[in-house]
Amino acid sequence: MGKTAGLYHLMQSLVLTPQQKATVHRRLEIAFPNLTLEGFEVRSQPTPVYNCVAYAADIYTIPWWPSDPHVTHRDYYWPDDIPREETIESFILAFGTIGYEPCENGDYEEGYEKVAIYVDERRRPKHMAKQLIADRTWSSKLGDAWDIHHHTLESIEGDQYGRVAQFLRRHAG
Amino acid sequence: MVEDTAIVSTSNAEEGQRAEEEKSSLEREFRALADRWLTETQFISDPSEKFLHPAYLGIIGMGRPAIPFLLSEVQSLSGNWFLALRSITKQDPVQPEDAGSMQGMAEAWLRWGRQQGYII
Repeated sequence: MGKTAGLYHLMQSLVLTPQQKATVHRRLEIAFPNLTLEGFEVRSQPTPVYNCVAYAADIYTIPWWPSDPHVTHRDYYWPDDIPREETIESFILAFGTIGYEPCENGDYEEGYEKVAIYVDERRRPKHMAKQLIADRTWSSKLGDAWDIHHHTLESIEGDQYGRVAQFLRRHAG
Repeated sequence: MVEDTAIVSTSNAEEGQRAEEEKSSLEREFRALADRWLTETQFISDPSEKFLHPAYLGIIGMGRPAIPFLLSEVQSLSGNWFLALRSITKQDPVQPEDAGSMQGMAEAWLRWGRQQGYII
């Protein structure tokens, strides 16, 4: 379900009007100062239908987060039997259900897909990005806003998402 | 008799105007809170950070008068408004078969809105 929607999603090309481009740049410049310096490409319209974690998992129909189901009910998916805790360990286990395992770094490795987990100063996950095999750069869904392609992981590090603390990989295909 | 009718009409018109003004004021209040929440949490994925934002809590605090505006936001899929709707209505029309898809959950709430007369 998600994968098919994902392929369709990635085939979409996004043409922004000059006014939309200016809005995107203005908002991103404030939140991610390094991003606008290093360059990026907007790949979708804003949507709350999926978030960064779902996007890293190639799911485009519902956001993923280990939120308390008593509060958020069914609004956020998290794999069954994986602790609903905002920890790196919980994220590793969740991505383990779709074939990912921890790895050393975010360097491109032939035959592997990689994702990165960003954490705040208390090591709570804040964001995820996935590596683009085609050009070895990275891609992120920014909250309820746009999907973007960014050249480096560092370009979105900072106050908003903290720093990358964990890499995961799985066999491509 | 004619005078009485005129007084009643004037009174009805005034009431109608007051109701419109009240609705308009509520709509402005909702719009300001919603825009603030959408802008200030647009890059956040963590639901606890999103839903504990003062503007989101402010919308929940508006109570039932916010329901039509919330359903309108659900219709345009501007954000996740389900928690606010559940908090205000104490209901959850999302069935297990709707779960797993944000679109499905939105449709469940819109069906509920039509059944309850919030959406005509």
